[in-house]
Amino acid sequence: MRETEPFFGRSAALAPFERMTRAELDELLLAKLRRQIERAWRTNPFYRRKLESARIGPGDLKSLADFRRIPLSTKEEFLADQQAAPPFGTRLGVPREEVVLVNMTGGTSGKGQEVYGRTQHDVALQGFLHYLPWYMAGLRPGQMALNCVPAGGVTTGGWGPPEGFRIAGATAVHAGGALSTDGKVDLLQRLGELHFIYASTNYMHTLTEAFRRRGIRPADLLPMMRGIFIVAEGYPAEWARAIEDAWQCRVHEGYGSTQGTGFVCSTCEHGAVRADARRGLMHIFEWLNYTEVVDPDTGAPVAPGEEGEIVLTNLDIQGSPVLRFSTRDKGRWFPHDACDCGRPWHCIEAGGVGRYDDMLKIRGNNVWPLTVDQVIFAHPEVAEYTGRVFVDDAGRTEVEIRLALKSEALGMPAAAQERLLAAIRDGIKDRTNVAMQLRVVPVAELPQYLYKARRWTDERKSGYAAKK
Amino acid sequence: MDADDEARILDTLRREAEKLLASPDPLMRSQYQHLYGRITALIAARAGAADLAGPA
Repeated sequence: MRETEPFFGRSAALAPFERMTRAELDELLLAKLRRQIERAWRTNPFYRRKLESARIGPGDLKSLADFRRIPLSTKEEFLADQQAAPPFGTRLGVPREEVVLVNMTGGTSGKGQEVYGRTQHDVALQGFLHYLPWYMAGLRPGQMALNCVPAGGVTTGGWGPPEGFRIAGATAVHAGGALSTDGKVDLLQRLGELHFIYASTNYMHTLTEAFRRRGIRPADLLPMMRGIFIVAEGYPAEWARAIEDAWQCRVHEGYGSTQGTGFVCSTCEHGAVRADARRGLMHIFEWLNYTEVVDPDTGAPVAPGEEGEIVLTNLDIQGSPVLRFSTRDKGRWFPHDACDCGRPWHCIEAGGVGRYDDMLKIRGNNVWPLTVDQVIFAHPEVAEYTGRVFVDDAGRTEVEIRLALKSEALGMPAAAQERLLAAIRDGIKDRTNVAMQLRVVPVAELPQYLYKARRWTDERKSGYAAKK
Repeated sequence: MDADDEARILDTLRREAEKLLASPDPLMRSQYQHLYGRITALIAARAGAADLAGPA
């Protein structure tokens, strides 16, 4: 097993942030938050209104605790603002002509896509905060790096990684979306060289399974691998260990969000699973991403080891900056000294970031059950359904919809039923970007809900655990 | 500022950025190379026949 190369103190540019005391870091954060409030007050009508409503103006921030007096910002507020003042709303904060990139959220929520305008500075800074976590995970200039996430487009997940690989000086292969999984295996066999993989958790599983089906041990084909960096989905620690075993290098993880700056946090040299089998810790790049983890009911910071909502504030983004954005992502918070790497950066536990709402991340798409409900129940012939996300024998994520028809629809001709299913299947694909398998079952096979429906189950973690 | 001034500034930036390429900082070196590439690309983008004179 190749360990991740230690780098603490190796970079003169990063070392001050690694070596400062926690008190010094807090002092820096307070100064940067004051600057952000001053900027927002001056340039950002959306946040000016918010600050005024909280009776906080420039100069009023005496402590980090004061910052919590600013109300959270929500997706719904952003959508309403940009609808009233298209395309960027009143929160752009920079002259319109300085915007070089339209950056949007995924849009599969059915609620709408947030629109962000990014400047040259923002694109470069976000590129750096892709590169930094990968550097921490072992990527070095000139090394061959496989990007399994489809590159480009309007989302940060699409355009951010190519920016990061470029400034990393890596030899990037943006194969995500361009090649099938088998095509990627073929390519890697042809290249005969790979040092780094960037992929979603599920895709890392799929890729590893593809090697397994061909009877190839990845570490035998690519013994020069330095690191694997996964994103987007949680996983059992046993799965990460099995991936490390197959590839003979450390698995690392990062958490990012369009509302953050690049990656908000990522694992240190210890990786996603520590030597003692505990989950690793993702260290927050706090000097660029002020990150709170709060109790979603009370808004109070959670205690060490507790789970809470991740609330993000940009400290150096120019275009469409956010203050106290309510991500609805949940994470388990740990203080900096929970890790022995020595950095003063607080942490979020690896492997366990999830959603407070019921969004499912399927093949890189955000799928809300509500969206599927809306498609299915638009057809009055349907009585009920359940959805199951699972990993099949080939290691692919699949979705099965078990659908029950109302009694009066049971006698419909086979051709009519086929048309109905096709309409539902196409509607789901159209709204979620995910192809789902449909199966008609007797209504008695489906559960009855006495309160809120819980139609969806996610069996992917057990699917990963079953394969070693 | 005229075109000659711009050319002079770009050349100064190139020479200064070249010094950064020797940075011992492993985290920053590739970013300096990226910066250097941006500058030399700007120089190339505006280079005329006169700029091509001299050693290749």
